[in-house]
Amino acid sequence: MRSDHPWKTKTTKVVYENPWMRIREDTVLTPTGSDGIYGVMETNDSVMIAAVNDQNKIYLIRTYSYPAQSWNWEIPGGGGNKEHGLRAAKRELEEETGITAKTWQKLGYTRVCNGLMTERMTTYLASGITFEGEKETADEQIDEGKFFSTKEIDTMISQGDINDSQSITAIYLATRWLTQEE
Amino acid sequence: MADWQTHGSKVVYENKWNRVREDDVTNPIGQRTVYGVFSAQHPIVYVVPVTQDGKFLLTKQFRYVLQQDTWEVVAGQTDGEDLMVAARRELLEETGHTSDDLRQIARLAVDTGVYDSYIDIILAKNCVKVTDELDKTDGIEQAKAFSAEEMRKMIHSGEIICPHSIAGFYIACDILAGDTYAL
Repeated sequence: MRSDHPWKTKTTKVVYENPWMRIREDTVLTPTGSDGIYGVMETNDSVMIAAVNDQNKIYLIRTYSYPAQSWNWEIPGGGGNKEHGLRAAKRELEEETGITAKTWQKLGYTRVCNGLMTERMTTYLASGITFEGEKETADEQIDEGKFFSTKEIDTMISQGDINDSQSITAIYLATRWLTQEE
Repeated sequence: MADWQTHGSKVVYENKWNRVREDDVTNPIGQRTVYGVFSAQHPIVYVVPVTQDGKFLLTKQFRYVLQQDTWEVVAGQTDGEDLMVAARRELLEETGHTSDDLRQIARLAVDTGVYDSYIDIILAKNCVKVTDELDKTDGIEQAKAFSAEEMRKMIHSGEIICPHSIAGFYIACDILAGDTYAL
């Protein structure tokens, strides 16, 4: 790990805050030594869960994005409430889909947007699943959930039916894991 | 149409690159609350550069937000110029390469919960090195070519942590598999 700091932070202040996000603006010296500002979004770390059935099909949900004002197919997941990653993953999966799983595997850590967001995202694979959990009516909307083969998912990605980097990253990690297992 | 109702909207923060607005909303279960939405001021491009011998170019840069070095594909915000012009400029600035074969392969959401702008993923094939000079403004330190297998290992080991790079690579591989590239 590097210990030098190409960017120098001169001042930092919170410019906006709500219960789910905090925006801070730092005044900085850039790597080339010029003055600048940097806006940073701080949100809770998140979890994404690839839940697979015994045919290795992946469960996707169709959900409404308020920012995008559109319905999209996504991998279940969401922001943790500062809880432990695996506990957050179990809760998110059960709340959004009613799925509980016997086996959990952590597939990897990524970020969400390196240039802007501090959020760290952890992807899990959930297998040995049943629909015996309790689904919750949350403020987020989910109108459908279904299993898809990786081939079907590839087609959905190429047609833009799955179009968010977080879901595609989680799908990639899960697909790699499942292929290596076979 | 979903059951969100928007009663009002105001910009609560903006700088040259980003804007944050806060909407006054009623959510689908009937609660009056606020929704913060982040937007980019200009379109964002991510370029997945592939060299003539089928390797992927990555850049190493120190990311201020994460306070660490990262390996990523080429990324940048347009200066209001055409998408492909921006993609060519970023490719040259960050890797010292040019390409005569660019095409848009995806438009992706950054974070469907908080961000309403999309990023355009551009596949740049036949990349050729024209200079060793890299743009140091954003802290780009190095550009290096990796085979697809090396990329997979770097994703697996957590050396590549940028989801747009991972998603872009995934989609690019699918497209290149249908082309004449041998990866």
